[in-house]
Amino acid sequence: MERLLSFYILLFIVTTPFSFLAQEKLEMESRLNNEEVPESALLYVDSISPKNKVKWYLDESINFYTYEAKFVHRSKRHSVEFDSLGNLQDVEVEVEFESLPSDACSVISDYLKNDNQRYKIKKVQIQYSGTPDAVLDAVNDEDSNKHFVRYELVVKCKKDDEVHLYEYLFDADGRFMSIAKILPLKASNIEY
Amino acid sequence: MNIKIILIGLFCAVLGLAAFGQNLYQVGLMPSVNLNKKLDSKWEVNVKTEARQYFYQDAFNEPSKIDFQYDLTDFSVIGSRKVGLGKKITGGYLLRVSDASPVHRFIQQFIVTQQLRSFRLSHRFATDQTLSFEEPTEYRLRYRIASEIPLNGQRADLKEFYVKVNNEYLGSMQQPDFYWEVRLIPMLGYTAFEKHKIELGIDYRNRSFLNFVANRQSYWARVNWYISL
Repeated sequence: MERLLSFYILLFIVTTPFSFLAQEKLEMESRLNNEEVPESALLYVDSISPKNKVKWYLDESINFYTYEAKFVHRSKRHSVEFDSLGNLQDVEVEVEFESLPSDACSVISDYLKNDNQRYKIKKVQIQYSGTPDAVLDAVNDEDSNKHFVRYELVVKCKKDDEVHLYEYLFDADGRFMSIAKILPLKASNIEY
Repeated sequence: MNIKIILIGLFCAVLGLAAFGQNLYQVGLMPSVNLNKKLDSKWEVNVKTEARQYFYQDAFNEPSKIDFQYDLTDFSVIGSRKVGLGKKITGGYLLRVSDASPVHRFIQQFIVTQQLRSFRLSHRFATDQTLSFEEPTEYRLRYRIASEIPLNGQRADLKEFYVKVNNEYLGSMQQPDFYWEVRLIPMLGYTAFEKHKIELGIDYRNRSFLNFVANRQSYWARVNWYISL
């Protein structure tokens, strides 16, 4: 047992420098109480009048942080993001792909077919941005042409014989804007 | 999700299973170190060492005595190949060193890991064959479900705690014997550095749980250290 303990101590000494040398990517997300959220953000989410419980999160990166409210409203998952001062950034509403305008659906489908050997859409969010009032009207399905719409899709893609998750962003007409690979979290502690 | 209710439930489940049976029980310490190295976009290698040290080894209904005794150390190497999103096929070899002659085990696994909205799940289907000079070959079939539930937010970030719960069902055939074993392992984990995770918990194992005649029950205090290189 003593030899084993010595082995573990040696292993710690050998492996620990790797963690300090590695550039740590500081992206953290944590739950918040209502008291920790800027008042303007709380008031804005109240104005949407969600009936279900609102969960608040703090998303931190190296240079900035944002507040995010998540809740179910009219049977759809909503995510409202604010900057560090409590100013609205956007509202994302999770929907079915088929519920998007048919023209946009068709353009997006064509793009995904051309861009991948195979694909499967895992999640679709309509992203509303613009002035807070215009976004509020859009979220409440009221007529408004003052907001901007984008579609954010999480897609399981096979490219170059490898399968990964990607986040695609399309504009209101379904035109491609950007793509980012979603890196999986390390899972060795639940695999082995 | 109410973590307290989950933990109390698991504790009661462990005690409930322990109430059955009158036979041998073991209590000890089981530290492990687990190194994982990504070789390329598809291949990974996992190297693990795990030791067992008994504190008690006794029968129910008899007075227990403290009995510190080193039992064994396992060394394993497992290679894995990604076969889909969150899916891996693995194969490896384990060497068990103890006072008796060495034991060799060959391992095959299929692992599916799922990222759900606020926690992660892993399903592991495994078979292994254990060979030694002293006993007939043992064949085992295993299924394990493991979950990682963050205690803050929707994922276990750096410097954050999480709860991990493993539940495994294992069938073993070693002529002329056959037994079933169930394992329940609730753990508290902490992401100390981006590449280091530490976990503490209880590893409860109950043999012959199906007919509630426990011929062996084990309680191991586990300390897991996961390193990603």
